[in-house]
Amino acid sequence: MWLCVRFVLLPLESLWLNASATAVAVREQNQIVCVNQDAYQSGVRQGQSVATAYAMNEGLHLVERQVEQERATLQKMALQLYPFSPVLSIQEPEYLLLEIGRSLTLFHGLDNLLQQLKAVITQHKLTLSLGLAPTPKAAQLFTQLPWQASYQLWDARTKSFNLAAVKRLIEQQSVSQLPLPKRTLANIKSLGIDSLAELMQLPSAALNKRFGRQLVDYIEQLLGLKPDPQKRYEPTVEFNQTLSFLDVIHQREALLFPMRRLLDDLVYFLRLYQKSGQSLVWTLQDNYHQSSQFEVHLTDATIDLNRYLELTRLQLESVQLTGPIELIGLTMPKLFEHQAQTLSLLEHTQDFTSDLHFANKIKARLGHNSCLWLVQNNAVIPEFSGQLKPQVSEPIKSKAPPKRQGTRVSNKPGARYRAPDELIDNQAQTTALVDSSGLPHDKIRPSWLLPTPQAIGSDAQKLYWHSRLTIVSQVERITHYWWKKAIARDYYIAQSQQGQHYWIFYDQHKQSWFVQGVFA
Amino acid sequence: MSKKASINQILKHPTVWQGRQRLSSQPVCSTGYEALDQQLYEGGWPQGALSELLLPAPGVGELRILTPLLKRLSQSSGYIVLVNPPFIPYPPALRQQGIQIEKVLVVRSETVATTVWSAYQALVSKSCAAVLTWLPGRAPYRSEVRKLTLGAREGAAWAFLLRDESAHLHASNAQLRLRLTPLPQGATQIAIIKQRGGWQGRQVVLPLLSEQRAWTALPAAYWPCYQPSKPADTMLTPALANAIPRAIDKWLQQVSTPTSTTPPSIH
Repeated sequence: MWLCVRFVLLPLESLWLNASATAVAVREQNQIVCVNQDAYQSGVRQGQSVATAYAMNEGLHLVERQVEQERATLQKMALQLYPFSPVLSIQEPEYLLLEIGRSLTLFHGLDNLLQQLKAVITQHKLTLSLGLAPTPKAAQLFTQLPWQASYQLWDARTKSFNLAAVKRLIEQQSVSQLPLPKRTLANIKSLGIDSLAELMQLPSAALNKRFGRQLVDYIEQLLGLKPDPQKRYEPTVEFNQTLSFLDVIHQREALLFPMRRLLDDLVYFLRLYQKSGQSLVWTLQDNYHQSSQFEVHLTDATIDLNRYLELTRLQLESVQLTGPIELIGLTMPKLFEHQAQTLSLLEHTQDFTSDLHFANKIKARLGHNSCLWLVQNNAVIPEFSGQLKPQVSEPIKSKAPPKRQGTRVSNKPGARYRAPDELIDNQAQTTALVDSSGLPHDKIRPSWLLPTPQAIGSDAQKLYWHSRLTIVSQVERITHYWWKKAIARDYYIAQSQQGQHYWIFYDQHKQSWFVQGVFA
Repeated sequence: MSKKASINQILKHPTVWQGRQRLSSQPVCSTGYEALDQQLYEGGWPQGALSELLLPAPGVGELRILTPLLKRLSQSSGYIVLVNPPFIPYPPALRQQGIQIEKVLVVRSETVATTVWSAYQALVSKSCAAVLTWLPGRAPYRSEVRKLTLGAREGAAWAFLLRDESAHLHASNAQLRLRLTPLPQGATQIAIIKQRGGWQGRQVVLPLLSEQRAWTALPAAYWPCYQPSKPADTMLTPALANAIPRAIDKWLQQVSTPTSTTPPSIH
């Protein structure tokens, strides 16, 4: 059971011109598309040329048609009518189709439903005409008729259509009203066919041959002989709210009160739609109309007003305000379906949660790069095999065993090591005896690594880094990158006079010593 | 009320201290070192309390002593947070010691206030099993220590504060205070400065860097550094780089015990 709502004066009403006191008409190129009451009375009609219209009414006010605006109005109305039926489709340029058969019980009958629907549309000051039929195409066609014509077809007691009457009514319609290409309509007219009854008497094979598949499909869908799938309208779910103040806000803390209100709405919205997002985007506009934005990152998908507020407060502390604020806005981009966690009602464990709210708070206050995950790379150079990342993007795979090797050095003694990204090697070679850490069993590695290797003071038979160093281990030779610049490092473990152990190496090409790590 | 009942009531009172009775009210996790466990009154690292490790410098076994605990905690729920560590943790080494690095978070902050704030947030979050905080310098950090203690208690986490050993001169709220002193041969002397309920002043020596026993020192004569007093052929150049392993083999044949731990003396 389909109800079609046609917005008769949409070109005019989407521009809010219907209520104007003078004669107004909407034109598209050189043709009048829509006229208001005053213009109609003076003889201006739809389909006339602009010259004819001016001849009819000298004082006619002409406006260019705004198709985008009409589309927006139609979208808006679709959202307004969405509560009446979830099966709703937009038929441009001016129709909305609703499947209301399953909404009748909810609205206590057709009359009630129509009454409420009309109230909604009148509230938006739009003129409508309705059509009711068992098929969407027929409902659309019946909007050309007075409402009573299609309303009579429905039997409220048996809750069914009088199908014979429906067919009769369809047959009575003129061919010229059909929403088909003008050329097809002209061809039909040239055969001397005027009403649909005459057209439907012709065999469909002949119609198909003469006018193409489109016409036959249309007639079959009109009569419900062929399925007519409609593209369903789905309201876009997004949160974008602003709050403006008559009196500007001067204090940072005072911003939190309106922010709380916006967050309150956001949480309600998220709960309602079961959505969650990855960040809150706040827009602050000062009274010089300068607006600034800041983003609050959320790592977990928990919907919690107090958490949002706390993170916003922390972030707000570091935001530079340009002037007194008169407007704040909140959006949540990239919404995704909320994955609700199910908690056991009875079980109570002492386990720690996997909630990352504390990391969010730290990031909000100290910056995005303050809270980092430890990630092991496939890189072969010690200083690149570990990495700190703000977010773990992919699950950590077990790494192939990295083979340590040297890196490029400059020719000047004591120069700092550079970090050549191209030396991060993804095809580490396997060796025979490795453990889960990707290291040979008999090798130990320092827990601490210096950000870059640091030069050690050395002279004949002496090494010095904070104190005298003594080598206590055997050499571990690493050579690599013969294809770029041959690198050779000899790694040793050295002990300081205080008893600390360092991981040091002698670079063959640079001929000097560096400290790389600390055993802790 | 009978006499026995009234005694029982008195015994239940929290302020009554009873000798020779261990208050096992607080959950602990073994340190993984039997010798240390025996010296600790609680028998391990206390949960929901702050433990202090006082170090003369970074790299005296402070991570090795915590490794058994971190290994165990990383295998169950809860994150391990390192707040302001002095260096970058080296993932292959942590994995080698059995710590799951997927659970390890590193927080970087610039001021002491933000360091303590971050550590507190991690502690009270109830999602961090262990929080290790490094504080620089020699300040007493009274209020900071107090804050970490409160955080550890609220979040029931294992909290550790690592700072300079000069802090042993100042009083601290921490439940357990250990001072680490490195000894030669990779061992570390651990002195218990303070522990709640137990005796202080005990010392224990742990071989934290036990691998050193297997190390073989290279004599100074084969160091590849510039030595003008030596003949030119022992100077290491890229062309001669391959000679080093052969030289070591030769030297190994000469010495009778290949696993000698004696480092060569250099003067």
